[in-house]
Amino acid sequence: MANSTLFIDGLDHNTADAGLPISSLPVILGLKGIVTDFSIIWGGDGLPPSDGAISLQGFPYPGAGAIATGTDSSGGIGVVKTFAMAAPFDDDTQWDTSAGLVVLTDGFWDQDVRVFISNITGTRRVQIDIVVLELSDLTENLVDTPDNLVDSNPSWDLVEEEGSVDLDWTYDNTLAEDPAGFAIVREKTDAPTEALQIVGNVPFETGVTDYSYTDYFFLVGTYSYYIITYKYGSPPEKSPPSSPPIVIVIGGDSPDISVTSDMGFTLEWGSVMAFITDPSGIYGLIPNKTHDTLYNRAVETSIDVKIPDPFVKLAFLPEE
Amino acid sequence: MDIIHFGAVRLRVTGTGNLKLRFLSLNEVAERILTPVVMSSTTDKYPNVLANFSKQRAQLEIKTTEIDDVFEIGEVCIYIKPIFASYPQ
Repeated sequence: MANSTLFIDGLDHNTADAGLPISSLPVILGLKGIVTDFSIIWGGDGLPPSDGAISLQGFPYPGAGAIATGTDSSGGIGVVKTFAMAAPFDDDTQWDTSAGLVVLTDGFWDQDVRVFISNITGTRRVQIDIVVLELSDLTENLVDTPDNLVDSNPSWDLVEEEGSVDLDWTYDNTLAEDPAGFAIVREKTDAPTEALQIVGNVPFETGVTDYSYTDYFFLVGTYSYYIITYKYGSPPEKSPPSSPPIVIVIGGDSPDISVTSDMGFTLEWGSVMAFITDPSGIYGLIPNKTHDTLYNRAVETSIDVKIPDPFVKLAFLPEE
Repeated sequence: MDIIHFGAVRLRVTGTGNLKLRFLSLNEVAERILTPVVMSSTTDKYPNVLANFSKQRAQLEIKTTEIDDVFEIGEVCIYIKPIFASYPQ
């Protein structure tokens, strides 16, 4: 399963002096979506205090069920999740909260995601990494839905103890919505259950109508698949229609099951994956530059990020 | 092709954090992790790191893995010596 970090804020956000909270940090600018991973690295002098808090927020204020458990430190405005600081945290300890992260639900996923840090005293450095799946404008799915979503050749390998299923679908792009791609979402509904999660991604190609994806799993049982189109850079529709799932039953050497379904949204998410927005693939080497810069070509902004694990590999010795 | 013994690595390096060194054989079949070099931003020393890696060809990987660690290398000198003519047939 591919995983890409959509946005990294590698900047050092120095805290204010003791007693003053940091103003809100709009880490994600102009993006709407689902926070799939959130980690924070603290540095500076001594341990972070135990009374501080970090909030991930979306707007507008969500309805019941959309707020995760935890302390609301931001006045209750559109809080997704608040993480109370608790000692001990050593300097430069990475604090990964992805295990307890809440995904956005009804009426929530189409607004800005922001980070607020409050009640932090002393001198601190913080690096915030947020992975966001940006959702898309999906009017396409209302009138131009793919046909004949079929599972072909689901199989179970007794030796490898692994199952696989081929999902095939067509998408005509009649309204020229040109989605960025198709997210393949899977849920296992019988025990032991697996929460809804995106297991793969297939890019959309202009002029191509037939798509396929092979999914692998290690438990026999009943799986429900949704295939969801997505686009980048435009505000998503509110409350898009949901679709019935593609139900695949895998039981050892079970035979093929063919079902058809419309494509659309599901509003309940487990863990999700993120995709690179507007990837470029161009990497320039600049002398004496010790960090990377990510450019958003659509809005002409850039973000400086730290280079993860820089390395050098010399040529093989001795030379031939 | 002679089998070479890679005995030591001498570096001229400045930076912060630990510089991690690793010898790799072709296709990364074998590796030998060397003692990390603790870097400083200014130094008048050439650290010498011992190694014991015998292959026909090897490459040296130099990296840092912790956040905010940087390195600037001015010189890398690898001490090698041919020890055998070939592997047994």
